[in-house]
Amino acid sequence: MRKFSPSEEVDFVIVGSGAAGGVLAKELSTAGFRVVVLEQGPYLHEGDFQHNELRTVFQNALIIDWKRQPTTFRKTEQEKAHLQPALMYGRMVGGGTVHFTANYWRFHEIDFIERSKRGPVAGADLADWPITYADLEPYYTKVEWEIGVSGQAGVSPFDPPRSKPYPMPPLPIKSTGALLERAALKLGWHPFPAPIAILSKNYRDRAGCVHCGYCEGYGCEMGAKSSTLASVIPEAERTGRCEIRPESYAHEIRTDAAGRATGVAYFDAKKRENFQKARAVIVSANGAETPRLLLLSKSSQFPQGLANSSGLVGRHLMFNSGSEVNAQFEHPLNEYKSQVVTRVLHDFYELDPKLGFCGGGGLDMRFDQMPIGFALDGAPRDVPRWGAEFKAHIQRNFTRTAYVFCHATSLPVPTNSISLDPDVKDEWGLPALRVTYKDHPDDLKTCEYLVARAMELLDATPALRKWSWPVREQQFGVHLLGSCRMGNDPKTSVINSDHRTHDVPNLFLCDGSSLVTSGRGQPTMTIQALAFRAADRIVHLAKRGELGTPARPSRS
Amino acid sequence: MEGNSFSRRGFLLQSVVGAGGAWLAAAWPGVLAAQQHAHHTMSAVAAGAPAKLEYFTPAQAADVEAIASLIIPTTDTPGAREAGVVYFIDRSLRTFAADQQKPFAEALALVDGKRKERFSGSADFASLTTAQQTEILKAIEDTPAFGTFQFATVAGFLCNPEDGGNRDMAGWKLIGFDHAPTHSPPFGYYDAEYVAEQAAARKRAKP
Repeated sequence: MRKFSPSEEVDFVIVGSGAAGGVLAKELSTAGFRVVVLEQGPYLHEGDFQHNELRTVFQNALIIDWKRQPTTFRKTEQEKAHLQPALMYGRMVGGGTVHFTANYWRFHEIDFIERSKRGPVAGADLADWPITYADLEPYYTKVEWEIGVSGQAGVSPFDPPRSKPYPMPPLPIKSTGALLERAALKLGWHPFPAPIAILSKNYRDRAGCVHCGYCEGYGCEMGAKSSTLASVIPEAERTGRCEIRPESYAHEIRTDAAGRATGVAYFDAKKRENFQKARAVIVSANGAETPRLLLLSKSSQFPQGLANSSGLVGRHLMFNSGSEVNAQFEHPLNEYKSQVVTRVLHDFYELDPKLGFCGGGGLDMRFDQMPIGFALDGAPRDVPRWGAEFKAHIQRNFTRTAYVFCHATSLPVPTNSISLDPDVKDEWGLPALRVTYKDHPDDLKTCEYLVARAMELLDATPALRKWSWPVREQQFGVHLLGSCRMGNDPKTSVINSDHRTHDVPNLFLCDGSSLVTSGRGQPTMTIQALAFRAADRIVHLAKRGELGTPARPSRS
Repeated sequence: MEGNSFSRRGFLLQSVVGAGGAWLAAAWPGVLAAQQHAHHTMSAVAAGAPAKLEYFTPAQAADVEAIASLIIPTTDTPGAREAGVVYFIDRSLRTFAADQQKPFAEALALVDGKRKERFSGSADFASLTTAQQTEILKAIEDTPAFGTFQFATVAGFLCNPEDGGNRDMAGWKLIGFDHAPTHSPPFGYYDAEYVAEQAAARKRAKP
């Protein structure tokens, strides 16, 4: 891997190596630019990933550690936030794509134009995207072929148009998929094989999935999961023009007198401060850390934080809402084997406005637990938590339990936000992430509606018993979306459709923060399609000489 | 802590505030460093050497084992006792969960307090009858102390054996978890049935 000195001015410094940062690193270095990627987490490799639940899940091996990087939470802006894990993200080279479940459906056409189609929604700032599904379609296809997505086109009648089939067939069906498919067909619904960013067969130089089962929440020890760590980052490094610099925690984007970004200040593994000079800066630090970095970068020139003349940096945070219904079956499902989801339903993606709420969702069926997690929290409420009856429950039900997961809309609420906590600091002395979040009432109604559909679905299976958990306001986010939204108007958005900030001409943002709407869950596919498109736009601008980068980058 | 009232998903994602509160809140900082230690100890056990306590006194260990055996009792199948849960806890408090020594000691003190209150003539928790022990555990069921015991017992029963518990894979055998490095379809009953039906349908469709 090429190494650059921080004092050497590279073409691009990218903050974050996850879903978007990894793609941008590969695309820009392949186009001939010199790129440094600053990643706050460690550089783990396939050999570092273990089939060990205690170490991986309960030790938070792959995600942020709230002891070092605390977060605070409050429901409304009137409250004082209290210390609480309020969100999580992958903290390593590859980011959240290393541990994700890899559900890769595309957003539908409605997601880009819902405001025009539905009109305003009280209490939300619903807006159309400045781009449409058609603009993004070639890049969805690019994601499928570049990183490796398994699936089957043409089964779901709700699928938006596509220019190319999937590069490989779906992964083998599991018991939850078989149960979902049969029940849904009985109900006249339209189940389809789940699009999954895991290789169902050998693809390019990577091996297909061997169904070990340590998947959601784990790193793939054989690289079959299409994380950026396994797919695009090695390609970026092979160009000889890209350095992935791990354990580099960005804390300030600096600007010159003309208001252009000059590079990024960061702490290295020993907490020493460094400054990477660059001709242009791209922030792909995720929907929480991207706005935080802009807010941390305030100066006399940018007193509200960098690129924040709109006052919207951090606002419109969306987690995606969700709910679940659980069931036990007579025969073993053995869902702990293989990857997680094999069949999906999009019949409720777009709902009749007469229902009285705005939103929609996708359903899947899964069991995403390993033994310890299941024993601690896999039982209906009437099962004791200890004793012979508890033991009989784990003995019988570990292999016979499944859940219907409902993934749904979060509407963009202006007061739901990421901001800097005024009191709490992280281990580096920087203000902690403060989350302000209260689900829009329509989001809760969407969840209630989907729970009812999930119950109907389970009624059409041979489930022995079913139970659900009450739909509640969320206090914890995994999908971090919308916090630096894209738009044409600098007063109502942070970046334009090229991902360029309205305020700083050589500063770009691309990750979950760019999304204008939340879709119905499973946002990573769309984040990566945006990243491939952003790379094209940025190369175009660079070639026009707008970024101060060489118009004809060296390919040496 | 709200006991069982949060969702399973909420538990996983909010693990720090979830079940087993104090125990989970541990950063488990040295767990990787502890690996070698655990391997070493387990290979000694595998070689037939008697397992040794390194943290608990024998009296404490007897109480801890009694509590773990109430949570996952020995029935017609092995329970926490046979899976060596007490040795897992003993080791983890010396290594990767060392910052849980205080909460664990407090949890044991709470149990001992209840014992003295209810069974004043008794010597220790381990020597009480199962009915008496159960009465005490029921009395602390809604305290963080119970969460500490429950998490430690479950983890010791179902962890990878290399981490010092789940001896002879007793926990995994009980729940039907096959820790093979790879699996092949069909994985379960309903997908096997589905695939068989699809194959039969294809056969019928052929002229």
